[in-house]
Amino acid sequence: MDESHTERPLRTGLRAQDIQTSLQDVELGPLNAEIKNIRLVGMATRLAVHIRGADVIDDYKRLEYVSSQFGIDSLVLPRVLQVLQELEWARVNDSNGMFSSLEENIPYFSDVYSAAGDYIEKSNPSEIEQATLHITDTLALCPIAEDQVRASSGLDERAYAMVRDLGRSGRFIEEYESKQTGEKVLYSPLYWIENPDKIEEVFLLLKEFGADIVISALGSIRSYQGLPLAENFKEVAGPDTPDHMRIITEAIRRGIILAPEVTSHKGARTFAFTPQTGIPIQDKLILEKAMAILSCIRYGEHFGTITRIRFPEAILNRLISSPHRIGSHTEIKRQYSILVARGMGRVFPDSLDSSRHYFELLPTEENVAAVKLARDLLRVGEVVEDKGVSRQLRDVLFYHGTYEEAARTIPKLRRLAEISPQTKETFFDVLNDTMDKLRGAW
Amino acid sequence: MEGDFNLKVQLNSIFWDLGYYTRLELKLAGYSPQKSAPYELTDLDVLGIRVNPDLTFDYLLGDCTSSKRVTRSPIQRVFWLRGVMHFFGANKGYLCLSTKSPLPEVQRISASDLGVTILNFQNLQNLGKRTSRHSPDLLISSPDSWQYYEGNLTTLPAGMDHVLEFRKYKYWLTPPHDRIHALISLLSTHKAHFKNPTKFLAALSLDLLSLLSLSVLQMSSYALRVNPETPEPTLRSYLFGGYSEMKRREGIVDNIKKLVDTMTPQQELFPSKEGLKSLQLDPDYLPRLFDTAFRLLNKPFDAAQIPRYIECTLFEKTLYAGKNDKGLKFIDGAFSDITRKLSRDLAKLLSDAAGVPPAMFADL
Repeated sequence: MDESHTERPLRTGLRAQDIQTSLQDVELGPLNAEIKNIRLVGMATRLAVHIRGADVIDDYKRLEYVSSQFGIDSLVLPRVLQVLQELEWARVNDSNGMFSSLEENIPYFSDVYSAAGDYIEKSNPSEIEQATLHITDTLALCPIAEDQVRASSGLDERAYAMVRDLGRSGRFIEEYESKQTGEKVLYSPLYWIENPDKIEEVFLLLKEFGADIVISALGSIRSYQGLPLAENFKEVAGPDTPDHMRIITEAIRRGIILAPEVTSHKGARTFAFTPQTGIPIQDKLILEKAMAILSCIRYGEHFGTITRIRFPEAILNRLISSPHRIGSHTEIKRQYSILVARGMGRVFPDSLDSSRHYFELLPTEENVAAVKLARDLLRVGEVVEDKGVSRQLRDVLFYHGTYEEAARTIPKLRRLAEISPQTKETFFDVLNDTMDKLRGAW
Repeated sequence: MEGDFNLKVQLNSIFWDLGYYTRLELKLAGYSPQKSAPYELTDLDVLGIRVNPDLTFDYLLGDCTSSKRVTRSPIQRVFWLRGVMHFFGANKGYLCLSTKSPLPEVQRISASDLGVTILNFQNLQNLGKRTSRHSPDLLISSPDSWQYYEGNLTTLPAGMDHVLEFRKYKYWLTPPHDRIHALISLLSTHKAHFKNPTKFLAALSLDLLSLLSLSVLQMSSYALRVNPETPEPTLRSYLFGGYSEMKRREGIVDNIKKLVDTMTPQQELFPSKEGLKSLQLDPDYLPRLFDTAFRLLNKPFDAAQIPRYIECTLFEKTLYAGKNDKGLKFIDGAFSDITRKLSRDLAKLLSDAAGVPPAMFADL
């Protein structure tokens, strides 16, 4: 499925935050100038999701401190606040030219990343920035051979080297050498667990079917997480099967695509998910639960026998809020049995009609987080809510007394950028040329 | 009558000191198939609305009269007032009589059983002294300020009649969940009249904003009681009059889309395919409205003061340009930064949604 016009700004916004988060503790030196728009908007978005709900912030020092934890230097902070104002997410009140208060208005119920992405696209991003966003977004979907990345980016050697340096410095673009062909494969550790075997499997899939079509097949799943697959799809996949389906089937066989199975009145059905949802590796269990929940709902949406689910998001919302219950319905008992088996909730009969059942989620923190993630997967295909949020830092803004404590407990380390000799030479040339001209050369 | 009007303002000040947002001289009207204009049923002299920190609402009603017939035997009027109280969901009311004569105790007792306190002139003066806090320092307690405001509203261009009617009675007759869109839609239709800001247009804008704030607070109150953690679907169903009404309206929109889609021969009569996307139930301002309502329910102590902050600002800053130092001092001390900020959020919502210039709300 092609990326729609509405999806593009969203992905740009998401990737900008990912890139900024990766680079925030890196001393970029001259590379900084090449990517300043992305970083600025990434900083603004990250700060926004942390200050949302504060309404009024009148302690500038506290704001400076929290911002510094996101790599927002106090000298850069005014520029970040300006971006927030241009996005209409904040009003900064001055008194005699001095900061008086910040009134935040960060949206709760519309997507901040689309607005941020739109802002970047209208801010005339440089060639390097566009390529960094494009490559990061492609690698978010799957690893890909470096030659292809380079070719598809359309960058010259110098520019490509800069993008690679940025990626390597922030550790959001890494490389892997195929055991079978010796080719270099680029992948993003932000989205792909550093598991060489899996990366090799993807690479072989790319070799077999061609990168474009594999990316397209994975993209179709990302656009519709929990894509329902045909019954017995593994057996029927043959030479006559459309390429997309063959790739998906093959990817499931090789464990690249995750595919939970749900059994109910229309038999067993499988639902495909891309594994790269942007959640931290330690939250893998939450991802598995989220996929199970969304699979149950997709079953009702596509294979319900009596009444099909028309508003999947409404069901997820009901599971999130008290009493965390859906039903009653005749298909719930079987359709949601995998959630019961996972200990996520219980199914119980309707006292007025024993053929109908309710499902009630056990509202543990982990289960509620899983339903919220399922909602993000449904809406966007990856994690959005509370993306990159540090609750500890948010507490610094929202509660009194934790400022110094937090300052002590959150150490910051800055890494140096990994700048290749080629990029160093480029900057050296620019510097030499500038100095030469300053001295009077034509 | 001037005597009645002074009584009303005096009672209004008492309500204000008791922590209520106040409205003076409302009209209750109804509609009939025979008449296009609203049919005036009765009027109400003073209405007090207090928003509590749990976002519940208290209503207090006041009726003031110098009619000799009522003064002689006020109980008939008490029964009438009880009916108006029922209309507003109020359980407390005051009947103010301009007489200095003593009132029969038996009537006072019966009135009290109905939730109404009868006040003669002396009772009113003494109640004022007992409850007096800030109002003596504020322009809101001056009959001249009210006359200056109400009198000048009648000088606005004739095209503003609908807006003024809405403010006086249509707002109160509209079901609470429909008031938000009714107000935004009305202002959007009349936005051209607000192009050149004047003092009285700005005051009217603030007045309407205070009504919007009440409606959004009612919406927040509903979400707070029903589903405060995931309020979006609850807020949406409230706006459209409940879940089943929302589904009914969505069904109608779907049917319209299907009809328009199938009428290919006269496609030019309808919007383009891109334009068809705008055939949606949700107005564009909905996400911002939900954001604002959610913010109000998260800061109920501060949000509860918004209508009073706007009302006070209207008199002290917009009408009299901050000339009353005590009034400005009161505003500075009585309302939190968050109350002011949330008021500005509401102003931005109204300004963006209805196309009214932000300058109208500059005094907030």
